[in-house]
Amino acid sequence: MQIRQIIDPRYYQLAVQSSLLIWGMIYLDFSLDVSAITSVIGCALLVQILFTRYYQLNFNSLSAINSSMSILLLLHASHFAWLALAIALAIASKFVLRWNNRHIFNPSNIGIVAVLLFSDSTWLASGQWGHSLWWGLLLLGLGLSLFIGLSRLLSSVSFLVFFASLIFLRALWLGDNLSIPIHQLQNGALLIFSFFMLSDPMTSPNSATGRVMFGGLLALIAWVLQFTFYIPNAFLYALALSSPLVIVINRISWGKYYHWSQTLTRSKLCE
Amino acid sequence: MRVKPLYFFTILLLFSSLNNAYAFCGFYVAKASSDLFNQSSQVVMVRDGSRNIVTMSSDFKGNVNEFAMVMPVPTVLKREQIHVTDNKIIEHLDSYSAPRLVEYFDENPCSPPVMYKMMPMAAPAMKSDSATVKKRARSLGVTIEAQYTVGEYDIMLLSAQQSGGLLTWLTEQGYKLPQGADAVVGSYLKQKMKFFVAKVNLKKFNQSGYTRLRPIQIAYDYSRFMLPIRLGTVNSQGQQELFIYALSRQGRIETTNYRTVKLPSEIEIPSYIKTQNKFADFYRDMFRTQVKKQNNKAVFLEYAWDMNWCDPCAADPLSNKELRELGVFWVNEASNKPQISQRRRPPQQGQNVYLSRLHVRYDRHNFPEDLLFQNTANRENFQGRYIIRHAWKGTEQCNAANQYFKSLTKRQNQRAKNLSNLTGWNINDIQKTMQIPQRSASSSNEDMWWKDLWSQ
Repeated sequence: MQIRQIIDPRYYQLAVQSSLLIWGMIYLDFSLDVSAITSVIGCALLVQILFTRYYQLNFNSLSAINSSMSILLLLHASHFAWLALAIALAIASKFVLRWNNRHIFNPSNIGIVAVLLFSDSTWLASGQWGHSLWWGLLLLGLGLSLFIGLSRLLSSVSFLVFFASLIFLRALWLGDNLSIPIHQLQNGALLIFSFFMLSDPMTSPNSATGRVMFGGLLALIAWVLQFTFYIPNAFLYALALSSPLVIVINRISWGKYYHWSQTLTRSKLCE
Repeated sequence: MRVKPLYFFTILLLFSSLNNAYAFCGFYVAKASSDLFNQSSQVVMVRDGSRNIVTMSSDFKGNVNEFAMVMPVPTVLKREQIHVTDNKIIEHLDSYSAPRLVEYFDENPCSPPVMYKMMPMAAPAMKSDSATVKKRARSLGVTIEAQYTVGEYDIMLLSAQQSGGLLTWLTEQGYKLPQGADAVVGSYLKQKMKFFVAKVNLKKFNQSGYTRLRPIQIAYDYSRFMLPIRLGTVNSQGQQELFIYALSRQGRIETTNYRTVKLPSEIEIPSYIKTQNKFADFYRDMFRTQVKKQNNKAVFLEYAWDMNWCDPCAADPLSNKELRELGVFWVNEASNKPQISQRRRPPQQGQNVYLSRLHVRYDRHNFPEDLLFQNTANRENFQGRYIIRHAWKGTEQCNAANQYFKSLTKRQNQRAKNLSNLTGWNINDIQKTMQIPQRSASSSNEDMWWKDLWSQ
């Protein structure tokens, strides 16, 4: 509680994301170079500046950089221009795709899904994170609760709990060894998605109950896409599909709209 | 009833309705009482959209009578979806993509130009009464959906309600299944798979004149892109070897549920690897060391290249005819004749065939799940390439020559270290074999920089 009154949670997120990116480049053979990284972040900031000027809002770079990092961590492309396009779409979506004065889609999620669907030049780094980092990612992910509060992290926690339950139930039904569902859950990309994309409080339901419902719904959609339609990276598509449902969930279950600045001093609409 | 020994090669296919395919995988399982040992399987996967053409080959060396193949498939395959091909095509693909050794000759330091020669020295891959029968099958909940003879194989496509019935029927037919197969077969059946069972038709095999079993190919539509490996690890405590040659239009194929790691490459190693014919040992031990370094959990990329060319060529690229035979349906039959060359540059018109060679050593503990793949747009070339440099042996005197000899020992020691790091071989043994003069190595001017620091 005290920590989040002092530090904007996005700094924590940025620190973890940067560390993961450096780890990936040094130890996991990620083929990103500094020019690609700076181009993607630069593109994010440029689009953010253009839209904030157009809408006459205060400019803040943190969310744009966080979204860039999410894209750099999960998306790979034959040319980094595709990554830049993904982040441009992500930032633009915050300003254009809005309902009731809030953005509908998780920015980095919709940016990634858009380029994955409409281009053959991008792919997800789903296997490249391996399975060895799972405990570290879990700790770092749960660490986010120190900044935004455990209640705000309920979408992530609920998603993982429901998704894990569905995976274990399927394994039990199939008679599979339990090492199979455990292996599926240890996937680094899944954990990065859960804690550093899905956790975005700006696009999560307002109430705690709503967030638990949202996580459960997302898990169900992801599970169906992955195990019935055999769509790889189903969790990303599931989030894009279920994001508009947040509007409905907010109507059913009222709660306080989150603002990055609620514990600090600034107040902006589109960070 | 006599239970005949059995050698399983299992492949698995699933079906689905969206846009990824489900490939089958090969693995083989030695029967418990047999001396057969799972050495290596080679699988060629051609993948485009949801179309899959899979060729499976194993280095089975036992009595052909003991061979059987079990392949879970997504649907009941028609006769035209099954084919038998020649071992030579897979051998060609192996030679073309295998890790390679190249050699350079140090030029005369007193008057430079470069001699460059590729050694066409590819490391070898570690080869590594019907009515009653049907009635009995029905009573066990097993349906024989189709039966064909293709080449030297008798093939049946089976569906079953329960794994127990299928296993009982197979056992009664003379197949001895490994203990523990029940759960895995049951899991696949619940995922609505059929089983493709093949054994050798001895009469046809003897008539064919072949001395080795040929690879079986199947073609099918399936959105899932995977290679089942679970049945192969059911009764095996040890590790198994699998080479996957994936051919696509787009680019590299990588695994999505395991890390795909590049094999170390572009590294200088001592020249005795060539002169003492140690490259196969080097490749084997380097692979073992790298597997260990990745905690036995990685799939290794050994080659990724546009099939139009190579540089250097360990073997020529496959001809269009060979590619068509492997199932690359988008290339024209009108063939490009392979030409023997050291290096083939990219032609103006491409075949648009990209090869990824993956090598995995797997066991039940570290690879609990079947392999899942994705096609990527990554067309960055990669090959396992190791370099030897022959020292200049001239006697000409000049300053550059002095510098050259001064640095030679240091570079030789570095190559020894590289070799030791890559393979885990003992550094002292390597240095001894290289005959590096240890005195000069340990007491070179650079190492003993402090020698003249203070006048004694």
